[in-house]
Amino acid sequence: MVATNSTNTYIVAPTTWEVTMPKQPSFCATIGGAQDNVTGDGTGYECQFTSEIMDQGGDYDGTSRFTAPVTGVYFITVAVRVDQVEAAMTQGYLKFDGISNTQYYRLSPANFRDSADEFVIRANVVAKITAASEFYASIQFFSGNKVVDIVNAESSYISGTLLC
Amino acid sequence: MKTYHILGHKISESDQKAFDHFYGNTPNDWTRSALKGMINKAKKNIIRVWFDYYRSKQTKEISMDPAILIPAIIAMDGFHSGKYDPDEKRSPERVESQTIEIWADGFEIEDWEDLALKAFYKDPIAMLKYFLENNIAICKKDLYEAIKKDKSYTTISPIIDEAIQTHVSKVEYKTAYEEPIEIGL
Repeated sequence: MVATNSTNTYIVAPTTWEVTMPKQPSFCATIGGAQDNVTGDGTGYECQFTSEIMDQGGDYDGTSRFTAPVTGVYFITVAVRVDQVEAAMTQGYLKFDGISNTQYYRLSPANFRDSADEFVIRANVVAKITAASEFYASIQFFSGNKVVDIVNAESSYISGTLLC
Repeated sequence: MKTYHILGHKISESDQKAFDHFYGNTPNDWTRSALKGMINKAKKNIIRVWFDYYRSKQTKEISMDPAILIPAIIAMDGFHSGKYDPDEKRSPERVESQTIEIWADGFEIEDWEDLALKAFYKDPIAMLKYFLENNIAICKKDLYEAIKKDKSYTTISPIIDEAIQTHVSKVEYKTAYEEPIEIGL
């Protein structure tokens, strides 16, 4: 079974009947290297994911932003491993920008950190994104010094896909 | 460098209010970022589809600078593109006249970006207008739905523009952007 319009094959099932959608927007990227001293003192920082794993549709800019090609409901997941979290940092956010309503995932960095002053923030959202709007993730920790780093490509990534 | 002069595109006051309600930037800034996304998509798709073929035809070192690579690919014999065009067309409901010019200064883009846009999209400017109009339509519809749920109203105008103007003139009115949803982990 193959579904096509005048220019594209957009649903494909081979004889074994697994269905693929080669035109469905979908992307994944990890950080390219550590990003040092990005927040801690209330500075908001747009997380950079410069190592692109895949980008079906070509809608991810290779740095930090995904531009929705069509208005639809998207599943987005972001994970960020932070280092050098201080005891004073009792409030922080991971923020999803560009979706129908900006969403803040509130957390207490000081309480999440391990003995190495690190932890991984993970958050998912299913949200409507309007065609041509940009989605990106940012972090903002308060009440400490601007010493927090984003580290580890295996733990820090962004991915998203169009659901419907 | 090339300037896209997209003069004559106007929106209404209610369009602007609905846009302001959901975004922290202006329609002009939003368009600038949308144009950037269109350029990115055009560039990546042209390279993805055509780079291997282009490389097979080259005998010298290949530059990966898009300012060199994109024009070279597009100039190849046999190059063609799908001429991307949205299937859906959507315009916001309006009773007000469109008086606010939002793209008066145009948009500066590089020559290779202009080439990429024209190669990938059927009509880049029409696409950009479609994106904005579609976005405004959604903002107006969503804001009107929010107004209908506001229990402080006893009557709500069936005309979307009127309902929006009434709502945004309330003293206690706040944009969605000023009242973000907070979700604790």
